[in-house]
Amino acid sequence: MKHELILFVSVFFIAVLTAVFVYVYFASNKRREFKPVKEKLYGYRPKLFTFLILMGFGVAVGTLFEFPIAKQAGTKPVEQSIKVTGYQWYWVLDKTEVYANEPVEFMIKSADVNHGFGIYDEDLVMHTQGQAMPQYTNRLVHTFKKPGTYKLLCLEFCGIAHHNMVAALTVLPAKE
Amino acid sequence: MNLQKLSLPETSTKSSNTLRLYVVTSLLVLFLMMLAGATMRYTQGALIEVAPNIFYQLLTVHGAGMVGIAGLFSSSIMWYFLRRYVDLNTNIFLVNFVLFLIGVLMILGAIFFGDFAAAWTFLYPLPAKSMGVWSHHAAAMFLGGLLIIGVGFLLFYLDVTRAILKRYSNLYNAMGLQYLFGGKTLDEEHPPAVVASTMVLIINTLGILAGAVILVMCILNLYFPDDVTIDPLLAKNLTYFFGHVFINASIYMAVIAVYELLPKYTNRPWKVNKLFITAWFFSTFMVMMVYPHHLLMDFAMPRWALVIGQICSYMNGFPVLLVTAYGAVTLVHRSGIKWDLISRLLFLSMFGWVAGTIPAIIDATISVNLVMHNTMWVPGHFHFYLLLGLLPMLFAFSLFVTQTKSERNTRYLDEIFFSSYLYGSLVLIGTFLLSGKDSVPRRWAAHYAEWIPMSQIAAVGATMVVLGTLFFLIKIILRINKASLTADA
Ligand code: HEM
Ligand SMILES: [Cu+2]
Ligand SMILES: [Cu+2]
Repeated sequence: MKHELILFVSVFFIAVLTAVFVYVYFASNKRREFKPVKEKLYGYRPKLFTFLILMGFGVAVGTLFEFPIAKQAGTKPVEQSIKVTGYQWYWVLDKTEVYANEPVEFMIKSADVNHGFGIYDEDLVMHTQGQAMPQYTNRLVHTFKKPGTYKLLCLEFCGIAHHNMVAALTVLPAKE
Repeated sequence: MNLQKLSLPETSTKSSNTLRLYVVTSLLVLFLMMLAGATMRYTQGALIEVAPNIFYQLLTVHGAGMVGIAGLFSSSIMWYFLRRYVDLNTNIFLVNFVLFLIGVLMILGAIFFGDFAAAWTFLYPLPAKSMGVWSHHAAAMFLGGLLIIGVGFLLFYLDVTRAILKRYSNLYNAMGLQYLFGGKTLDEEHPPAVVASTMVLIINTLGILAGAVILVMCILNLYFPDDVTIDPLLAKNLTYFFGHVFINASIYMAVIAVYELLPKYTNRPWKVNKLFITAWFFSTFMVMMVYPHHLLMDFAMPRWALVIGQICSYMNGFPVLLVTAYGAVTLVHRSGIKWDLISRLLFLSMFGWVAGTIPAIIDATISVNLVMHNTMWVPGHFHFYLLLGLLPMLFAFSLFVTQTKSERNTRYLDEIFFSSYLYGSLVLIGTFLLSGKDSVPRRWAAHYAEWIPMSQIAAVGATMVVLGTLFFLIKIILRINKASLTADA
């Protein structure tokens, strides 16, 4: 759903822009005085820019109210917690089974270079991700809705076998 | 067809020959790097077989080569037009070229003889940790090559600074800020090229310096790992600050061609106004403040930095981008413009630049980034504004300066290959974005079966782009010796 929405919004704005450019392209064959054209178009400009800035600012701020990234420090212990460590070129997880419908905390780090920890479902749709870095731990919290075998793909280029750096995580049906 | 005669600087054989070198080399490198890009897309589409180590070498050479040549090519646009207003030194421009070539040779050697393949972003500590695939010497050679290229650019910007200061006494006046804050009445003849160049020299000097710092640290760390240690998060910040600023500066340099050429084709003047100056002033800061959008998935970053990354990304699009595109559209609308190859490319560049920014801004939303970061969505958006924004500016410029009086009419060929380039790019970009929507990771040498069909369609688009570019390349090379490269009409 989220992926489709992202695509839809992008395509929508690109389509509007395309329409404007195509129209201006074809409408340019007739020559008019510059002054009236300029006055007319510059007349729209403040309204258009104000609208876009307000919309942009609104979306930018609005999507941050519920901050999309989990708190990193000073949090209460989470029951389902997994330590994830990236190595060239494999993942080590201290636990590979979790239950659905309860938050899972991933404490992600790396033993060597930068890796990216991407969680994919059985249909190869990515649900979330976080970077795995040397010397730092990134805390990622995710609640799985659907049980199944999830794939953990490396999402940061880490050398010659980067694309082979895949592990699995089993999500069991929610506890009664 | 020109409205206002531009005063041309003294053109010596040396300056036109130097420009020839820039244009021909840049086009050749662009073309070769496109072949590398197409090879990667063919590989991901399982149409040909390329071993992963070779794939990542191609990825590294394509990234470094394209970003480097985008910078070099664009700097020739800035040089060409800025010379009409301030007195630039041709020798320094030539030194930049020579250092660039030396850097390129080092990079090619490191990649193809030293098997170096840590991508153009050389994210610390990967260059030092190849698991035996490449040596520390190969890594040092690559990093050193980048460093030398950076030194060339710094010298060039130093000369630009000197020349601008000589005429305008300070950068404040060169950017036209005295008309905003000083209460001075606006001088409409203040050249947009000078405003843009001033902004670029500020941001790119800082960007390249940040790059130089991390490059030197990485090189030292290769040989003295115990004495020189680097914080990996700091390294990431420096790398992305440098990379982000550098590639953006390329577009800001190249857009000067649009400011200078579109007025000629529309027979309407493009003058500075207060909004224009305000836009460039704001962008100077914005472009440097948005780089944390490359680090949104580094949760260890302070939260305020990520918030700035997201909000500034949304705001960054407004100043220069919107003001310029709106200005271009106003100039073209009902202008009776004659659509030929050059004018089409100029107009297309405005579309591509803005359109490519749309998926970029969307991806800079943290909640989107959680499922799009490091997927094909990312090459999707940047190929959008590079292939359809930056490159059309570069092609238009090269075609313009190499015009000759006794030109053969190639209208039909022009149209065919322009279409090949345009529609090929749209296919290539569209498939990147769709793959991104399908969660396909970027920088993967081998793709799962589910992802292959999209890459095969992409391969068709890539081929069309390559053919279009080959046509531009041949067309320009065939006439570059006859052209005086001082074309003013
Ligand atoms: C025929 C045209 C082109 C083709 C077929 C092409 C193809 C590709 C491919 C397949 C990738 C790797 C995608 C992945 O991550 O899996 C890539 C990455 C990239 N391309 Fe292109 N490209 C083209 C033109 C350009 C141009 C004109 C530029 C810049 C001016 C450019 C800049 C880059 C950069 C910076 C990367 C990122 C490299 C990295 O991830 O380290 N490309 N391109
Ligand atoms: Cu990895
Ligand atoms: Cu990896």
